[in-house]
Amino acid sequence: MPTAPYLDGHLSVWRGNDVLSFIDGLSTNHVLDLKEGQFRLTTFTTAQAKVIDRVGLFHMGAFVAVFSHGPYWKSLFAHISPRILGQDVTISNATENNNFFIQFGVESDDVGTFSSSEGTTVAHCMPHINYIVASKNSEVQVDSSISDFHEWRVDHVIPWQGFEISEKHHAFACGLADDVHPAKGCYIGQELLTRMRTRGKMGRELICVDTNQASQKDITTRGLSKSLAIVRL
Amino acid sequence: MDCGTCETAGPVQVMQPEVVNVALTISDKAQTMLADAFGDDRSMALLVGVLSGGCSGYMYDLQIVEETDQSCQEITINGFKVLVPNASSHLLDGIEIDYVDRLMGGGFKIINPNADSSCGCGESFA
Repeated sequence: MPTAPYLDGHLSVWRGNDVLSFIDGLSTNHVLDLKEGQFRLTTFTTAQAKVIDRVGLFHMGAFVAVFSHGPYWKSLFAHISPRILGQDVTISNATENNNFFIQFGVESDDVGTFSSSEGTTVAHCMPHINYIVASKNSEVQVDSSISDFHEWRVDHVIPWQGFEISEKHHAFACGLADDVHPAKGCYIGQELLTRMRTRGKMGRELICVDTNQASQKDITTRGLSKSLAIVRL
Repeated sequence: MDCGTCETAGPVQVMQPEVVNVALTISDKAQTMLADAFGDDRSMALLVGVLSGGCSGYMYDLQIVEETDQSCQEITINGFKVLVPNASSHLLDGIEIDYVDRLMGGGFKIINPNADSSCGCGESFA
């Protein structure tokens, strides 16, 4: 299984009795029922439904580890910090203690779970992608580059932070429909996303295009022959 | 994450808003409804708090409580004890608690001069 280093990974540790309700109240996916040993992706959005970041939640029992995109952490933290108020939520930064990797092209029947062994935690986060969080003194065999991963995900139309997943686009436009729960209650951006889904009007859509024939301004990840683009429907 | 690194990571400093002395009012209609809810027992208190969430990012949280473990300001208005958590005092200074009497969407309402916007149901604000 190809494994590439993910230098932009960020890991924070969220503790307290209100952590799941706090995340649930501010992000697109339903996470209140997340149990120990489970993993789930959810997306924080603005009032305009633009993406702040997509995060992966590891329920570790005593705490929830939140895997996010380092360059977006400042924006995400600025979004959540003033909303903690008196709730039982404390956040620690564990990024410096770990290395991060992406395993791609994997076949996994247990998406939404993770396993830990000898300092390495592997989350089956999407049907063909694993996140790996490894402590600094753990060894992970790397046999691919992040460029290989981006080339691979173009073929599989998988969005990524810094490319499709950005503050410029709403969750549907950048291909995060699976993160948007169809029936959960209110959260920031929910009214717009629900209206778009109900009316079937998403505005823009993430697709794979021929690099040389597509409108260059729409391309979000440029591949050799194919690219990903967010185009108006 | 089974290696102890998460357990040893120190907490990051989250935003600690300034605690302000809250002034609030309760409309006559809301006081009538509170009197019905409290009965003769004025040892109970109306907790007026704010939680994260809702369409606009903050949601009002009204509860009738005997006590709370939150650090609160206690305000007495016409015999009603009102508790306002210090953590959300900056969002609640100057509010009016009203009661809207209608079949759909009725109930206690908060009129909040600090809110830039609020959602249609009136339960959340930004």
